[in-house]
Amino acid sequence: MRNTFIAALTERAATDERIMLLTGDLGFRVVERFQERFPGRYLNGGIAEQDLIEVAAGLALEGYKPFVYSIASFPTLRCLEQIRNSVCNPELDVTVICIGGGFAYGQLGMTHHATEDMAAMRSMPCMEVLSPADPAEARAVAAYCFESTSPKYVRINRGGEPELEGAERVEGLPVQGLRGLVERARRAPAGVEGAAGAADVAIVATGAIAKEALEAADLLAQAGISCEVFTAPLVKPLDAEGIRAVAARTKLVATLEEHTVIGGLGSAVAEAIEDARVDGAHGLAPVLRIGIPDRFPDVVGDQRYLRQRFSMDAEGVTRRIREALGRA
Amino acid sequence: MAEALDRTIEAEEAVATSGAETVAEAPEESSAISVSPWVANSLVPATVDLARRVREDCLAMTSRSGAGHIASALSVVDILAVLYGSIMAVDPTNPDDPTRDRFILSKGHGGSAVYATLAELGFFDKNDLLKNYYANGSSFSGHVSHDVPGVELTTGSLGQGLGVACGIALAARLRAATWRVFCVMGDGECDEGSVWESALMASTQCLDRLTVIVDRNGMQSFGPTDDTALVLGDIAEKFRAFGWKAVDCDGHDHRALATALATPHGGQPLCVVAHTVKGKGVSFMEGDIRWHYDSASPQELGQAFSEFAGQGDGFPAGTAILRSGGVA
Ligand SMILES: Cc1ncc(C[n+]2csc(CCOP(=O)(O)OP(=O)(O)O)c2C)c(N)n1
Repeated sequence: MRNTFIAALTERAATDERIMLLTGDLGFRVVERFQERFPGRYLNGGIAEQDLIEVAAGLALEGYKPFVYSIASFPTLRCLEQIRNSVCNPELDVTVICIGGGFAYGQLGMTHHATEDMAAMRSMPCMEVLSPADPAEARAVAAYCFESTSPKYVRINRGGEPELEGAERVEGLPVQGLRGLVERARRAPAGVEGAAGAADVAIVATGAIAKEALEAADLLAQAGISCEVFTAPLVKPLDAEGIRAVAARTKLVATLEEHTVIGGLGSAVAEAIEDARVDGAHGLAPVLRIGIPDRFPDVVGDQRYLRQRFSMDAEGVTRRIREALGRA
Repeated sequence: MAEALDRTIEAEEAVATSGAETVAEAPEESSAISVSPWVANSLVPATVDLARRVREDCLAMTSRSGAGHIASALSVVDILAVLYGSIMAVDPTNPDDPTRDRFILSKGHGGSAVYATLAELGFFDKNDLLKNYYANGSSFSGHVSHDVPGVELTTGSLGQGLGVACGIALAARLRAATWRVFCVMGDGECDEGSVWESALMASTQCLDRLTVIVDRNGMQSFGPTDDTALVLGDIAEKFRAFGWKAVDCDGHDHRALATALATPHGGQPLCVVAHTVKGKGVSFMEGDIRWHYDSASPQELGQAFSEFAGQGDGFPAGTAILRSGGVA
């Protein structure tokens, strides 16, 4: 996805001369094409993320459209107050790009896990939070960033992710269409032609881990449980209407994110449903938040291994949903 | 390969009887340097031999697991060998000994070199390391982890270690303790503003139990520090301007390192800018940025090992062989 996003950015920079790419000494074998084509609009600001954000803010104040590239927690948590005060408060058109969302850099260790980033970014006024699930969404997210003038945070897994089921629906979306949940799949147990809109569970996932949700849908169907799967490329603003509609027609809404269960997609979905209840809505499904529990991994592991360890892989998701539905 | 890895007693004895020189001119006030009784008992092989074995371990570990940063590890090996082999008071049988000297690898991505050094000293089983480095379910994350015996602090986010080292040095003074703190940083790491905040803290507080060693290999993520990112210039001069005692030395010459580390610095923190070569010791890795990322194929590993075999005890060329406790 990172190459997809940077390729889109490079192409766009040919026609949008405001676009700049700032890197915090990262992106070897990724950013070079941009650098070659637009050397004057490429800047390696060194291993100095706080400064990089401030510089991006200054450029944006003067009408440039900077994209700041780094990995893990470095472009968010490392420079959180700079983002808050210098980017969000003045509502500047700065896009922060994180490669390595979740456990993408698993074995490198906890300093290289981006697992609280969405919570921190979501909590910033004006900040939009985008988290593509596959290359199709990465292209759509890039197109969205080219139009939006808000502060933006883009969380990308890494490289080499496959297109997921339903990718063609993303390709056809108008830019603002990305604000809605993306319907990915619907599974019913063999022989049961589930009435449209009456699935037992709806899984809402964000980021590359959506792949596990799609596999879980198959496993659930085998266990006699019907399932819908959506992706949320925008975690903020979240499609609250869409969430509410889904919650009204299912028994359980399960969220899946490679991120702490505190403050990310699961929290956003639960908040949207609770807000709907306050507005008087009835019969909305409860929310099962699947994500990283409130602790750091106790062992080393690659992305797959850590997903499994925290019951966030297809089997774990299936198990958690079956337990929640009382059909374990 | 197993043969090379398991080369132990014989090689150690060979060095011990080779009439190895000790560092003769330890400066007058060198009583500041404490040498562990464990070291004085000569259980540590000569530091040059230690360095060679650590290089072999690092190459084997990263090659086997596909982990990156081998060049960053090779760059720092001689610094670690001199520190652990002849200067720091540490006890592998009691890693948490309250009187131990503390060590923080702030450039956490060089972690394989610290693990290998600790394993060679006997902090834990070397075979465990060779087998489980970077492996699912283990403690040996790519960036150095304090879940491993002998490691004080998990690092990986650059610019993190020096401030913590300042806190430890402050605690040493508050407790009137005699142990010291050593912190190794990358030169690119010195881009981080936090480094310079800590540098001011250290000089303001006259933290003379603190020594920082900058692994000045002149490279960071894209290539030469000063050409690809920020201009670092004369790092020792910068530390002097920040109130430190600072010296330059050859970071692969063990005698020069030991002498530099023995520089009297009463009342001030000491900075040793160790001039090194990224990828040191493997001809095809030296100075090639590719090895910040790639790991050696089995064939490349064989090639690297054959270079060590050719070097015998003379590695690196022109380096004085330093005996354990030689600087006392
Ligand atoms: C805060 C932070 N930003 C970025 C990185 C990614 N990163 C890892 S190693 C590296 C280059 C380090 O260069 P240097 O400190 O000179 O060490 P070397 O590998 O050359 O020994 C970078 C940018 C990081 N680990 N931490």
